[in-house]
Amino acid sequence: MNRISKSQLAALMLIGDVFALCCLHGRICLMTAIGFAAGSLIQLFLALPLARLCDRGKTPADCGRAVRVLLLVCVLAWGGALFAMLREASSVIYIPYERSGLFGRLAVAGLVALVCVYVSSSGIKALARSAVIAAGLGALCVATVVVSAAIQSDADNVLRPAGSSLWRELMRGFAASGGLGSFTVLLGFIADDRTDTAALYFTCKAVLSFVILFTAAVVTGGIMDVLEFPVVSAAQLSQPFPVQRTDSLFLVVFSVFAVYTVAVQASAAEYLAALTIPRLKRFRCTLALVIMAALGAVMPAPSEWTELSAAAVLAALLIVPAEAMLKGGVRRRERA
Amino acid sequence: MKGLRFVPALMAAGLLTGCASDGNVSDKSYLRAAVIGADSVTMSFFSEEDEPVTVSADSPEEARSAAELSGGKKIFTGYTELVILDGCDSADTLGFMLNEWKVSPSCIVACPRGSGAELLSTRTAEELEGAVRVAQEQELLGRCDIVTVLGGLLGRDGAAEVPELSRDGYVGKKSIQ
Repeated sequence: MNRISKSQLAALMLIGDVFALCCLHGRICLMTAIGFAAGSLIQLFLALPLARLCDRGKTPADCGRAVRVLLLVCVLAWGGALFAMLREASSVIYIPYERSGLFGRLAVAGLVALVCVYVSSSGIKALARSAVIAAGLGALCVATVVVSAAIQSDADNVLRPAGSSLWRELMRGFAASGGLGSFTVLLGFIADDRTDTAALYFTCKAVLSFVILFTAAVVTGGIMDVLEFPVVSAAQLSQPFPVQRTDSLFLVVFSVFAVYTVAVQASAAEYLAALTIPRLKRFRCTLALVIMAALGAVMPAPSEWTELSAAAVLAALLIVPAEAMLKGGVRRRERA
Repeated sequence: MKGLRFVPALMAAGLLTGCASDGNVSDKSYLRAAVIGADSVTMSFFSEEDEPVTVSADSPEEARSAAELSGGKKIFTGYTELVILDGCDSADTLGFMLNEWKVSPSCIVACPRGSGAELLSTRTAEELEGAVRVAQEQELLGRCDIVTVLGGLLGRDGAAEVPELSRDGYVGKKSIQ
């Protein structure tokens, strides 16, 4: 079985989280940053039973068929949501062929899927190793934008009221965390202590979410009404280089993160499909990508089904410990 | 057979090189400054070969299309340094500039004293921008970049302060709504 380290898993998952933040739709404010960070810490608390179970040797491979099917559905649905988010966010990122109508959009999705097939074919270990490099470059870009925003932007922007509550932002944070289905799967691949891994990942996620959303609120707070994707606009407008926007540089980072995020879902789906449908021996990854792309073409982005997405995330985190608890309860009754 | 694994990567790399994209630098006119009026737009460009052009249009995008037809070159707006608002809807126009024309966030927003089209034909964009920057250095004027001005227009007061320009350069500040 492929084994990955905790930093590799954290890199894989954080890339997906940053991509989901980039595709965040609607107004953001200081409360959004607090809500997402608090949501990440709540997710850590909810993930601890799962991590402890994995430390005791129980992974999704040992779960019942129903649990594996539910996880597979969550992973495929989130993959579809990623394609939907990519489709919507593409309208504000200058992609040369995207403006060519339907052909452009299909070409963008098709290219991402094609590269994902290539990336996923080498296995989760190769994906995880390269993710550390991609995450490092992404962290450098985030740091550049943050420093530039701190120097040039108006800090009063963060205090502008946005008419939002902590509960609403917690829900949005959970809805944007659909990658936790694949986290549940990939935790079984960890060579290190799983509890430490969960603590590392969710802590980094809380800090990163707060920093990115806070920076976006500072840069775009005054013009939020005319922006659809404030995090994307913040990256484009922070202007670390004089005179010109950083659209091209941002496009490269955005594309790489899109590929990694989808590839992680495809790899997790491939693994679950191998366990759940043993008769399906070939083209599991390609089939998973086709299903995700098809779902992405028809489903709306998660911002339009926040509660359902948040519920799916909770289910993905809690289903394995819930099944273990039920099975343990049944065995105790049988012994009694 | 293992070599086939590299085929998708090579294809993707070929598609992503941008070789089939937007052509040479000399095929485009690079917009430096624009005067947006209620029913006309005046544009001046970085290259001295591209003369300032005034077109009648109800929107900046119509104006761009008309100017491209007139000049015979596509107009790239990403380097725009100065936007002069001369009777148009300020917030809508600046929002359009930021989202559709993708102008630089440091693009200066100003208003004319008199006719904006005449102003751009008598003074160069470089001179007008220079006047604004000197006024800022002398602390006669605060920030007047497009993000700051648009933020003021969309804020609680619905107003923002911009420099007022004439053929004498910077002549004062004006509040726009």
